[in-house]
Amino acid sequence: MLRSPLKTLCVLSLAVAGCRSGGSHTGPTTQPPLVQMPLMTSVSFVSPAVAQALYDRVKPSLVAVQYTFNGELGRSEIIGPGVVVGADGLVMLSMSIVPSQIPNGQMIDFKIIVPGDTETEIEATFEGRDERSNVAFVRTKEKQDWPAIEFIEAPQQIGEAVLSVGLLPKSAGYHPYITQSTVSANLRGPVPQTLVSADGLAMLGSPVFNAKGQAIGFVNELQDQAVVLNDPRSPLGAITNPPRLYVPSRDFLQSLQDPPKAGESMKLPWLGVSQISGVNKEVTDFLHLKNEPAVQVGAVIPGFAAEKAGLKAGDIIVKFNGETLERGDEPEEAALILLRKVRRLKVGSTVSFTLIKPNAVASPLTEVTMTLEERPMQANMATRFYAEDLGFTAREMVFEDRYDRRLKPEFKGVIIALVKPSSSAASGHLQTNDIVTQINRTPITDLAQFKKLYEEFRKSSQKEAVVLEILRGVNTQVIRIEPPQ
Amino acid sequence: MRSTILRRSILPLFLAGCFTVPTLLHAEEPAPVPTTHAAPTTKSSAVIGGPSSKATAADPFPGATPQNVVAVTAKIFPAVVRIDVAAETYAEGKRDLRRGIGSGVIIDEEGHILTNYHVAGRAAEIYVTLANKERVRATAIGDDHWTDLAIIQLDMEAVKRKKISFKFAELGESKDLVPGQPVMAVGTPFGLARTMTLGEVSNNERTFYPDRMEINGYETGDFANWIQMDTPINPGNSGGPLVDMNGKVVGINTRGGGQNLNFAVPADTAREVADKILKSAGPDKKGRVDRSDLGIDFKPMQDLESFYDIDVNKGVLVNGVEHGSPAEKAGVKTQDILVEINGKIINVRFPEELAPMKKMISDLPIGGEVTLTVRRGKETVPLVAKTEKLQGAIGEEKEFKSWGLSVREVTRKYANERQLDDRSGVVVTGLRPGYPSAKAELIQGDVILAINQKPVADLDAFLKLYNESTKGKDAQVLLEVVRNRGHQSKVLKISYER
Repeated sequence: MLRSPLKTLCVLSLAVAGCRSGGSHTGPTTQPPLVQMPLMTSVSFVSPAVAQALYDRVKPSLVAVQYTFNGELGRSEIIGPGVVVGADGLVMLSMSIVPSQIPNGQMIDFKIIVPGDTETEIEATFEGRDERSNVAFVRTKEKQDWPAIEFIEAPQQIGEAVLSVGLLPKSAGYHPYITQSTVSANLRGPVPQTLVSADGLAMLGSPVFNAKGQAIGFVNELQDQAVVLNDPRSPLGAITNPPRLYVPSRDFLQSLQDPPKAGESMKLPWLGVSQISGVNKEVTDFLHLKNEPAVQVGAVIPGFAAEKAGLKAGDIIVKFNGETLERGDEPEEAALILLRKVRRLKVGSTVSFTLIKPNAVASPLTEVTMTLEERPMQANMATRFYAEDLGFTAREMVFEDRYDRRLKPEFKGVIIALVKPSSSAASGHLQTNDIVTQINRTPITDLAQFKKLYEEFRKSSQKEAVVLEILRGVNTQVIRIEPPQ
Repeated sequence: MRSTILRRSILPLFLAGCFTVPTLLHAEEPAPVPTTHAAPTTKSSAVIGGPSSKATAADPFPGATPQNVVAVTAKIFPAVVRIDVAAETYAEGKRDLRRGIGSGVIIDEEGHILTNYHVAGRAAEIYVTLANKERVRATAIGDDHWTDLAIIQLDMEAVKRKKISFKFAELGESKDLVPGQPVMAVGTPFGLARTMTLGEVSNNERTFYPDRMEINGYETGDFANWIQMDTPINPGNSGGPLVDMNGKVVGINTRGGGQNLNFAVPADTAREVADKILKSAGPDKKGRVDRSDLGIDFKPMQDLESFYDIDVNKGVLVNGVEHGSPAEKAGVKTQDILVEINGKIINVRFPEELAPMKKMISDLPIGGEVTLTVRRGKETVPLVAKTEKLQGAIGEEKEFKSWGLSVREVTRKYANERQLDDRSGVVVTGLRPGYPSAKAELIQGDVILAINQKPVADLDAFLKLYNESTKGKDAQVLLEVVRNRGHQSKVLKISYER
């Protein structure tokens, strides 16, 4: 019960966590000079002079990242904070500024704004998201010579002072600001997080430093935080309601060493199971697991590694690669920690699980070994077609669309990604997530064919209704879209 | 969500959430008006339950002259009752009672009272106040949410013992109603018993298609169009009679859209449903109406004839086929045009024609074979389906006290909605805080598939395994549940005596 507020935080963090720090191999050209060392090894408060020195040093490494979200329903400009992690112009930002719900093709016109009186805008390229640690990267088109921030792994003790330097919103001219707070807890969870007290941290997407001036973490936890620098509704959200959790560097150093690159999709591994859950104490006791963390496989996806290896729905995993599972602050987190661990491995690597079956009699341990396969394509990478005249977007189906409805891999159709309010499609009761299987009685094979049939029909029979057969949930329906007359 | 708002016509918007639920018990019954149970005149007493006064051939129906209105009111009042119910609800895994008031009409000398399902359908305690202000207990005889009707019966022993008298009303024919014809509503609006209001039939074949009416998730209104009238009714009127100027019941007041848009279940439906409930009810068995189902979602053909190259006024479009339904098994496909059922020609060009066709399917023998003739492209294909008993989205619900849990049967519709693999198991609908199920971290919507590794096929199997596994104190029970389609194990520690 006491834990529940923390649990909420941790779950949130799961959804969004991710930081990355200037990887050592990207080689920041300027090694950060260490701030004057205080006498004590552990510092609970830094002096104004030390803070000022850190502020001045970090300032040139903070930039604003801007892009245009060019959606079917209109455009909007999004600006978020970024940290220079590569001297040649590589910038890390929180993935919450480029959420995966936005299709990659709809994020255009990336720019890096260098704060200052001139607010220089520099053309940039989106390098990609890194879901291993929930960060993303943008690179300037032209090579720069910027001071990069080098993130290091340095665990902080309770009571130690941490500082965070961030940017104020656009309406305040991206003016840099520094905050100081104290480490109050190191939480365990799928994303490790450090909780701070006192004044809190700078805005989401800001680097966190220890008293020595070393970059030791990144503010990347949502907790209802302001995400962008140009939110007109609450421009000072991060000031009045500052973040109090950061992610220590160890969680995202991997992303810095091996960041995504534009044009290459990141190959993430997966097990081919879904609905993995943590096993609560009643169940571990019942299974005589003696307080060991355990996770349960909810469903095994046909045709993928886990199924081939013999994993079954309901199996309980007690060891991963021969080791006891890592414990979170909540039983449920053991599952998320395991999944995150797997996600950080390479496609093609071999893993093993030690399993027991959930039943009253002590069942023998079995071990399964499997090779990690590449995760199937996600919806945000799928090709889309916006039928502007009738007001809907169809996109190609991805693995998840079929799996959600237990459709066979050979099932053909296109999925409705968007229905514009008040459009002809909306009046025809077309809905998001409907799977279109026929257009005017012709079965659909793929998005290109759907687009061709649709456009031809609309050209030849402008006044006639388009009749679609769709699958909604598990039931089929006929949808008739009357064009505007 | 967007599209729901958009496609809603103005009318159902009015209706949203405001069918005439029984009012909460707050309104005190007003001071009795002595005239209401004054000795009836010979003329009116002859009418109640007796042959009605016929209108002359020239007049299809008598007008609402002041004399007629007074006479009909006097006739119908002794048959109309106020119903106070304590209705069963399942909240947080425990059966609770919610009090409300509705109306009803006595339909025979055995004291059977016709009312709405949403008044008395889940009633655990019922008190009836007769027109002469006597209060008598009543028991639920049976109900049918599809038509929003229920039958309760007066405690006849008490009636005899206390020598209480009542009259009963005659159910008329609703198919002869015409728009513009005067009608009266009698009931208990806001607890104000024996309230008569006067109005006219506004429409005699109202459908809300494509919107669907429901009562707390239970489907309703599929098998008949509604009578729409401007007779003022309010919460509490539910279940009361709509009466023509012959003093015959032509409808059961059921839904109100506010001001002057009100809706009644037609008497023709009420008569048939009441009959079936009474025939199927037994001493230990609630009466019910069993219907056949094919599992087809139909759409009127209107404006689609040319697209499908079919004659106007022929067939009905198969808009969808339910997964796992008799129609799917028979090979019926979406976009088939159903033209005949057992050789009988089907014609649904307009939404108003849907309910009568659904009624016809529901009347087919359950489990019997039916020949469906469909047009598919240029071909005419005969298909044979075996009907199943109609089941709504919400299955039967039960509470299991020592587990602190209430569960429902998984119906085909529920399994489809949730995209469950099949219909096995029972779904958790409520959890009592502090009891074993809540402690084991079960949540609403979990489907319990196995108890101590024995499969739970349905509610009966659950009950059996529940009894087996819950013996004595300190029992531990291993459950297999499906949550968001993922399997999980949970352990219940039973720590309370049953």
